[in-house]
Amino acid sequence: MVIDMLDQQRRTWLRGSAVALLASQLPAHAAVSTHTALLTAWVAGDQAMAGLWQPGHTPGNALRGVPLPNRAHEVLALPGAAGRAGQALAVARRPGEFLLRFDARRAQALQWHEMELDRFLCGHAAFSADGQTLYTPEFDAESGAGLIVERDPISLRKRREYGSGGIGPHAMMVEPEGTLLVANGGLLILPETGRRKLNREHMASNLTRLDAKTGRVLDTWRVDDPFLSLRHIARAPDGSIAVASQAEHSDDAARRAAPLVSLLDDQGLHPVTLPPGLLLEGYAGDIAHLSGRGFVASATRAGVLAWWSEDGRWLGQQSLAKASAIAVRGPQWLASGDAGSVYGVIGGTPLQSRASGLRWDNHGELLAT
Amino acid sequence: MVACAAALAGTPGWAQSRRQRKQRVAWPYEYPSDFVRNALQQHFVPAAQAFANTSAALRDQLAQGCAASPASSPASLPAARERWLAALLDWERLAAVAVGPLIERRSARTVDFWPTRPAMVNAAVAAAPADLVALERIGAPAKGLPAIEYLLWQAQPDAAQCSYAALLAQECAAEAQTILAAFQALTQREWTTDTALPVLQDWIGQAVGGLEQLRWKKIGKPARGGRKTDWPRFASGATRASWQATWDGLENFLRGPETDETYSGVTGLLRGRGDLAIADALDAAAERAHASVLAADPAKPATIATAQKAVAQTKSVLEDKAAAAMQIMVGFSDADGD
Repeated sequence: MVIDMLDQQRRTWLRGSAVALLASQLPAHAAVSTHTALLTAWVAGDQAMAGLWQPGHTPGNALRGVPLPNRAHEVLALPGAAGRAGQALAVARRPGEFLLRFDARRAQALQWHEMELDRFLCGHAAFSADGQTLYTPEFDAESGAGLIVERDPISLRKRREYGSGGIGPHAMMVEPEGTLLVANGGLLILPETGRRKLNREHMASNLTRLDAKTGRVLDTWRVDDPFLSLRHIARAPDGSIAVASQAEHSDDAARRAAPLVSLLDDQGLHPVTLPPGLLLEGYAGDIAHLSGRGFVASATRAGVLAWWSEDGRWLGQQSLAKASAIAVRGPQWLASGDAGSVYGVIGGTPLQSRASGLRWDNHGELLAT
Repeated sequence: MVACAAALAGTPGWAQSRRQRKQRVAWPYEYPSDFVRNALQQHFVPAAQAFANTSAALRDQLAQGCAASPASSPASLPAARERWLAALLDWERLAAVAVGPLIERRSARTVDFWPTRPAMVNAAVAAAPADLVALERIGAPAKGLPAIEYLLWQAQPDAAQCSYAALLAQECAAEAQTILAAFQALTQREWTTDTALPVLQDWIGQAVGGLEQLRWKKIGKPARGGRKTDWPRFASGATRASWQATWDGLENFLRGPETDETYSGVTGLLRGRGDLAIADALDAAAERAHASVLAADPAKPATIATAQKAVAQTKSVLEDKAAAAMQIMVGFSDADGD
């Protein structure tokens, strides 16, 4: 049985390697659909940007972005109501001080919003299903408490706020039922110390479900390992939920070997099991679900895209140096890597390309153009 | 040769400027414990002492001025403003690299909550807290040096405004004394490599953060806003002086004081390690930032853009080259994910 499993893993690994090898042999900008664009953030030289990258276009025309004062983290398309087509929202990286609504097609800033008194963004946001509400995870600079703030999606002005159910809220998701799922990373940071983690020894991460109408905490889940900081969430169409973590163990070996993905089921939140010998090096930058393929997490420091089924079975891995953003649209997907590289499948064709002279940020969305 | 250079370094009569120091051919290796001790003695404690002195002078001036007559009286108002400016600039130098007690106490929230919130200051004046205990019930946005600036640069501060400003100055002076005592206590510690290394790493991370604060919060963001009132210390007309004082604090930490070479800053630390090219790059970037921050003028947009860029380049050298060479993880890093 063990041998079978190992053999299965070996074959899966070889399959992944074969895909990687195939992709690596493709010419840059291989013939792919040009009707898909990656909405994301990047840094070119010293300049932070947010905008669109279009595979298949000539390098000079492939990128269109809006300059930002500081790095953004997540960039989201506005839900497609009238007058919003092509608009997107860039969220400043924590401790974040700005939101920007912009026209992604024209690379034009439309609405800047500076943060309210003593409030800082955590790099992520989500829209309600009807597109009428923007939710932003934030923290209170006085107390460090995590917050979910409801905003107008156009003016970006605050409507109200309530507790996120923990500290250090990071990514969040609006569930089909309208409830909110928030990954509270459990790490305290304060604006005067930048991104320094101030409570590593006493961190308290959780996954919280909130009632969007009342802000009330409906459920809270924790993993047994207190040094896993839950950060990013993905949901499969069948309702399976996976959460990607970053490991904060002071013990180097424990951090490197930590399983960075946990699955939520009726019994709670449980880390997946890693195949023997696989080290994900303590850092998952993003997670997504791909129909027919399962959950995929980017283990940035390990340089790996790691795949699991919806019920937690290990499916294999692919090498991608500094794997980071994972963007999915139907069967199409792209993952970003180091030095402007991207890798994935667009229009049914494997794609490996590179936008030279830039560094991608952690998250992206695939858009039809 | 190294010993010779070290011996010369300790001789006041041979004190060299930053530029002269750079020409040296040999640098003593500096242990983290030496760096921390020297930075405390030559940078942080003198800066904290200066702020303690000038904030006490502001406190005394406002206490006397408000007791005798409102601060708006012809004699006392200019004196109060002058002392406010002195205290502010000393605070800027001290807080430019916010470490130790400044962070543990979150002193910036007490001393320098900026931008101040006039409506909250006005409400606090109306509430008329009688003493420091009562002042604890007032929120940070209505306190500190920016709130005092708002009050002192009213056309005609009244008695209630003067009293509230005097109480705020009392709080700032008390905070300054506590900060000074804490830095002095740190100098008394027996620093070893084990205890000093994480401190050194924190401080370099905070210097990266300080550069970013100057570049963006104090220069770039107000420039983008386009409103004159967004410039730091706008009411007092001390915007440029404020930038220069902040830069002075940063440069002192990075390169050591101009005329005191007991502490030769992060550049000296790098040279002692043999990272000469990185030290030179940091020196060169700091030289450019020095000139551009000095020239930065809100009325001349090109100078603002140049200053932002020069400060950003200094930050980039410190973060991407110096910190990386020393294997320091920077809390304000632009390089990591999230």
